[in-house]
Amino acid sequence: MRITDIEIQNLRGIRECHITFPLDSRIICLIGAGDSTKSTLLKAIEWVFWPTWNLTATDTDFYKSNTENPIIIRGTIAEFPEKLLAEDKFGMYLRRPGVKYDRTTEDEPKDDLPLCLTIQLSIDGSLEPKWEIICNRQEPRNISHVDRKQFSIGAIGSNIAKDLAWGKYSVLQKYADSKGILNEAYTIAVREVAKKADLSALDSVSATLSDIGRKYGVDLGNEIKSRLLIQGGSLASTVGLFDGDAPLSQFGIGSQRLLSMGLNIGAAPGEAILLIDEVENGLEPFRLRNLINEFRSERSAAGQILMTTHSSVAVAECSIDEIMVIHSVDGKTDGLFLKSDNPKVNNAIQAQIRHNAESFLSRRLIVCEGSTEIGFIRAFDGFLASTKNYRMAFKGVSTADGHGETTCQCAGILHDCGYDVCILMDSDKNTEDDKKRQMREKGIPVFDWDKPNTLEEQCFLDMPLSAIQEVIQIAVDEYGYAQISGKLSAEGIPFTEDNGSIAVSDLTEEQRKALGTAAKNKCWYKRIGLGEHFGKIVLSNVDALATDSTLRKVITNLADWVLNNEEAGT
Amino acid sequence: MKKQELEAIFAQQTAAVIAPAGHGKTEMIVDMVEYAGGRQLLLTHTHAGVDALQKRLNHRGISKDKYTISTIAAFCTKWGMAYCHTSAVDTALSPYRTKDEARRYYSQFYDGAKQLFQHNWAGRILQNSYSGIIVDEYQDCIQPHHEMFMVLSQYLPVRVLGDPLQGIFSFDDQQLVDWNRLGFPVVKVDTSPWRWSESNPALGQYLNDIRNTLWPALMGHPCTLDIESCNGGICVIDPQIFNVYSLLGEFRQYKTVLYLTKWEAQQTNFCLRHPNIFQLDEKQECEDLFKYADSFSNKSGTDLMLEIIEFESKCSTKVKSELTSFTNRLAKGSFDFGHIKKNMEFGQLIGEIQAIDKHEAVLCALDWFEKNPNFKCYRKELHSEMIRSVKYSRDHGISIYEAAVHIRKDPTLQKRYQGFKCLSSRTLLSKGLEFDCVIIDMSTPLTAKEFYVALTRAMKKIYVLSQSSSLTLNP
Repeated sequence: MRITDIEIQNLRGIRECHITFPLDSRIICLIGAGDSTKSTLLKAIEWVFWPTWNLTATDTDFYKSNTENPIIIRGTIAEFPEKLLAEDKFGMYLRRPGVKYDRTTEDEPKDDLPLCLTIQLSIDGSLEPKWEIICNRQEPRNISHVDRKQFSIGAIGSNIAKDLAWGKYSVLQKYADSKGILNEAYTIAVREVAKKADLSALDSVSATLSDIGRKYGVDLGNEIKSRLLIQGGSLASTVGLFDGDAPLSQFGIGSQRLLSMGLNIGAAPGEAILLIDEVENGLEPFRLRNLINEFRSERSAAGQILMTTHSSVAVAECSIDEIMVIHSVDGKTDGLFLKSDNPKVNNAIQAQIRHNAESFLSRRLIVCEGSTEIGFIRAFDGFLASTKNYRMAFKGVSTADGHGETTCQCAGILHDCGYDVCILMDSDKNTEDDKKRQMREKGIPVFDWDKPNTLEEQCFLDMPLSAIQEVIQIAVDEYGYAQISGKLSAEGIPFTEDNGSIAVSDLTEEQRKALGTAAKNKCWYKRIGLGEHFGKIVLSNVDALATDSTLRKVITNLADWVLNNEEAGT
Repeated sequence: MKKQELEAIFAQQTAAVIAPAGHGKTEMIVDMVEYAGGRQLLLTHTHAGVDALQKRLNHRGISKDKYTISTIAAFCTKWGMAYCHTSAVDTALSPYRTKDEARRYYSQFYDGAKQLFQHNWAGRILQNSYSGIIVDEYQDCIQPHHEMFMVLSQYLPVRVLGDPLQGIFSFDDQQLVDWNRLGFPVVKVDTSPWRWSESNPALGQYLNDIRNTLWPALMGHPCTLDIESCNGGICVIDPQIFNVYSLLGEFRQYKTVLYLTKWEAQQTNFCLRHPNIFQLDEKQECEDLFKYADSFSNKSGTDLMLEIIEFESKCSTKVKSELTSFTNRLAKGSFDFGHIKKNMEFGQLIGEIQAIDKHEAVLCALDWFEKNPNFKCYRKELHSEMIRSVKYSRDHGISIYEAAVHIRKDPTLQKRYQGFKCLSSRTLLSKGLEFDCVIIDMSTPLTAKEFYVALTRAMKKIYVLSQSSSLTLNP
């Protein structure tokens, strides 16, 4: 079984939400900033397939606690149990995926698409839940909880212990019907106890009673003894699973959750939908990676897995097809995929997922053109700490690598997924001008240099001589005196040797520019560590920069953006 | 049915069983339902057929989860409405307006079902609902029905029962399915003429025997049948000598008597000649009902009264002659009946009802005619249906014409008139029914199949009105 669409109205923090899942998705990893309503989304799915007749909803489950607007959840599923296909069940209600429920649009099945059913849960002010199968062609038809039991949905949430004991709502009930067995076991056990109970200490009252009987005319035949009275009851809530003498409920949370997941999947092989809130909960990174790969493997019996996470380990383990960003603004929740139609952009984002998964878990991103910029921003972070007394993390800001030519598109996608983004990139390619303009029109600030400068060129142009001296030293330390001096000579830049270092004095603008170009072309700082070092030196000299210099302006504006000042952006 | 026969039928994906009239076809179907595992979809053509099957299934105590019964039309309509896009059904059409639109309305569902079940997913729904399909009265299926069942046989076993010798329902442009080219293998089943076992076994056996003589008609060949007396069970009488009144004594021992003839005009004429004895068996598309319902709706005043009188003259004898004076006055647009002496109270009645609501007025008038002993009504069904239409129109706020269409066509509103002792009818209307005595008028010859259907309506006695007892029957 798999979910193809979900529509939610007025449930907790979600006023309105309509998400379509790709038809072939097996694993969907939901990420999003805190309070982005991810968990409510999972809750909605759990409710709409609820297998019993009672579901307790309260006033606070309604959006803004307003019970006048009913809670409505519509889940569309494919590959559901065959029994529901019968003519007198829901055979006449079949639909195809991705069609809105509006009682007008034609929604009959097509041969090349999976057969779907849509189930609707509605709860109005009376708090009475009502489950119906709906389609655009007919009046809704009730679906009983007996039929709903056929949906294999497992929710792994906070109440794990229930799955490791034989309670009424435990997943174990799908494996064996424990009620009769437990009742019988209980009755036998209690009778044994009653038989063996030694209450002889109470027998002292025997003689007194016989005496009273004789005096008052009650013929007591036998010797009076005290015995246990057996009353009815059940053991269901107190029968748990044990590993030897150790109850499973005392194992670590991670282990308990893993067992529960396995039990849920095993109860309906190939069909189960698993809803896992915070998949990383209680799990070490290696067990987490193992789990996700197990879900994905060929021999896995799972139907579909929907999980939420705050863990970069989990995100890194997923592919771009599997990650959905959940984003909530003013009650409207959207779920967007990072995948687009452009394979180059997809590759860039996929690489980002693998190497810098953390960035997807931030709310705000500086999309950098390459490693140099990323290093530079690291230095920038230190700069903010020392000058403004706060770090980027405090403002929820992280960096993302745009991988050169895909920088603008990456930024665009991230923006569309709800991240607050800005771009830091060079101005050396004319072809990028159009893209930059589009980004700005979208409201994405683009921080770049005077045309046609790169970062290196702009810095070399604007920074004071002493700083130039220091940054050249970085290159010398990294690549050796010979290589760097050779390049300087080739460019016709005057320098003197000073104890194995290079000393420069009085450079013209062209010479500065040439140095910058050389640095760029020869990749002197094209590594995060080198870029960071470079940036540190540049930034430590900020005050020495002219106030109208581009370098200073960009740094100031970037700081403003991070700080969320009103005049941020160019 | 014998076990081997059931096994032979169920061993194949499709099967056809030929079941002659009165040979226990309904029992066979119940046997099949009982024998089969799972739930069978039972389909037949008419609601009367559904009722007959349901009765027998209840009688045999067959559990309700072993079957679902429906008419073919209802089945196709249900599916067509549920998936109108895929079956290309136009839900704006209505069967209640024009005859032409009604024909298009019904035929679109048969074509639609065939189209719908080309899709595998639709077949899957059926497979999850039933384990087999059984169709009754297959000889009444037309080609589109047959094509649909051929498509359905891809998903579920289809078993059909019928009697090709009773295939008389050819529509104008729709050919009945050709039993020689069914595509379903015929399974032989032993049967005996159960229907006549108590009333007249010799007759039953004879009617079975003559099938061989009549069978060539199915190939398009004429055949000659020499009628035998069957111990007095069958009498051949010259139509010019035939006199109903001389048989009235004999009729006393019969519960029901049926007169069958070829044409509607003869059917009506027979009633006229024997008023108060034979009632007219009305067809479903009762044109007189619709015609007069429409004019009652549209007319008022003197015109309405004229229409009422004309309607009544169609239902009963002597109306025209008794009320000539009234019709003359009314034709002149006058309500002045002061000079008329004959049937004076009618004049009074007309006067009174002018003041009241039209529905009540019409009902009052119809009631007067019904109670008047001068008029012998031979179309009690028509009269009664008109009263029902007027009442329905009054109660539901629709025109009398619309009401007539509804009560006549809506299966939930239809009323069956089965209480008449002597009925004048045609084979098309009487199929499936049984009468103690049947009079078959061959002065206008019936076809071989029509004749067979006519013969098999009789339980005890048959009168064949023919000059010769050797009949040449055309296919």
